[in-house]
Amino acid sequence: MKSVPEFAEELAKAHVEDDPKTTDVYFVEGVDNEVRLVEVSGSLGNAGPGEVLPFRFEAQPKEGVPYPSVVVLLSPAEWAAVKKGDLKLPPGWDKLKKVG
Amino acid sequence: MATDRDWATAFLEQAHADLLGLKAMGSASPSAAAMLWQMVFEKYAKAALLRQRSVPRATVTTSHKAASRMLQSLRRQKTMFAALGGAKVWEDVLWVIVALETAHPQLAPPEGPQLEYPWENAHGDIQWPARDLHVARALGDSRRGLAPRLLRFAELLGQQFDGMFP
Repeated sequence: MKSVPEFAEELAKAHVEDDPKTTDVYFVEGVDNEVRLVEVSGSLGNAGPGEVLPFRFEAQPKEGVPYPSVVVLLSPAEWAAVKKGDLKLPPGWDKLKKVG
Repeated sequence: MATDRDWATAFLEQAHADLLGLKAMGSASPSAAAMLWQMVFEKYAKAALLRQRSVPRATVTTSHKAASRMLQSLRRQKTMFAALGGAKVWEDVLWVIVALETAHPQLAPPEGPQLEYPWENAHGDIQWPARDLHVARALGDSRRGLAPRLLRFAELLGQQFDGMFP
């Protein structure tokens, strides 16, 4: 079975293909039982205050999805706010590694 | 003491009820339908977030972007993409929900357009949703078939919600 980092790479690539306005994808390192991704996309509106809303999806081994995944989608402005420290990712999401 | 799960159930039930209201309304008032569409998807999204307990309840209840984030996240899941509709359905649904959220009173710029209230545009003209909100007009345009596709998508989402967000 693929490791979590290997599957994160695969998932990130598929997500970028789905949403070509995705500019960056980050994988949360150090978690061995689920894939956590932060995806920055221009397809998300920049209006209003920034929001960090993680949505979790179960593993589907029969469909080739061996791990649960949690995705946080951010607009470019929200990502900039995260980098400045004005917007917080969920606890435990501090070790980010850029994918791709 | 009510739990997040209790709150999730309440949001989910109200989303179902709002959807029933939409069906009863038919094509009578596209701008009122637009408000209800925003409410339906926002409540489904908040029910999902509350079930998952991934963010504090206060963050969930005050969010105005939950619907678009939930749908964009779902779209990235291959099996759910297929279960809820094809490419055209997803294109329509995402376009509508982003347009509705952008026009939400808490997010829309002062010069509009607005989902609920009249606004004054950049030229000083007073406009209102029933006449001037583009997404509402699109929802009421029977040639586009947007509303039926949205309705089918929402019904499938409601039916499959427990499997997607247990």
